[in-house]
Amino acid sequence: MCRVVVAPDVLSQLRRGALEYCVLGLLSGQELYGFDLVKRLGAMEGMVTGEGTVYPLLSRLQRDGRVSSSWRESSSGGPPRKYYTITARGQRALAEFTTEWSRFSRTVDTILHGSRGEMA
Amino acid sequence: MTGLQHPLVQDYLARLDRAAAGLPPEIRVELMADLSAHLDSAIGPTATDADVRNTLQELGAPEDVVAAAYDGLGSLAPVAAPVPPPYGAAVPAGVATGPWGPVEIIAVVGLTAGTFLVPFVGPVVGLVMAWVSERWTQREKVIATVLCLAPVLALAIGGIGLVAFTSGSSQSGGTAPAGPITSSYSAGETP
Repeated sequence: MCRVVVAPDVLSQLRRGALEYCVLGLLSGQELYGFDLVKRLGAMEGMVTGEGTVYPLLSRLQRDGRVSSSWRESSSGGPPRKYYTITARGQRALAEFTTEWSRFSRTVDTILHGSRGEMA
Repeated sequence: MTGLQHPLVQDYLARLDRAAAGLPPEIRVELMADLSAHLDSAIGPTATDADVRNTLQELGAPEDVVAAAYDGLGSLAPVAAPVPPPYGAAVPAGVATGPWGPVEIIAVVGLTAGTFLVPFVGPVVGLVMAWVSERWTQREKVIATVLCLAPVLALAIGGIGLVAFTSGSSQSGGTAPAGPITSSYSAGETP
């Protein structure tokens, strides 16, 4: 989170489209509890403004049926943790996004770099 | 002392609760639970004040968290419940605040000095201004009117009574009516 954001508004727009799929992407391989998930996202450049805003996103993903959650007692005796798991519907949404994202970003690259005669 | 008991954390959660007041209840409860659990995990018993401040900073302002919650509502967005105003929201332009503006000043001047400087017209203008005012309440306007007109009414009744009395006590021809009733009333107290 140390890099200087050149265009915060641009980044905000890009993130708006991709963030929930990045969350699904992180959950695709494993279930994670809230704090862990938020910290992993936060460690990636430009992915979150405030960590707190991820929780409403997770709530919405649950309402959409893409993620499910359950509270569990912590084995180490700490506070209870809410574990998030991707659902089948979530996996399908993630797969669709991944395909579209590849095509789209390649097209954008072609336009941005190709118009100047450079190799993408 | 657990992380949640730290005064800065308590303050943050209180602000979050206030900012979230307009959200649908289930969503608000869930949000509070999620953020509390996060803070409980993030802040251990040995955390320093600086640690706590850092954690809260990374979490982001309660208002931003609630804004994200509103974003995610979609069809669940409350129709009737009002969206809480942002912190430090200014009074919207065009709304007059406070009891004194140019209209009100004219009203008071008209009702007081106006009776002497511009008799009859002054107080009438003052009364009109009083009723036009957007800052004074209905009650204040009524009081101003009563105080303004009551002496006039009293004099009028007295004058009529005098006329009736004096004309009743003469035989024929009647008497000349009593002198002109002067509007030398005082405005009394103004709101």
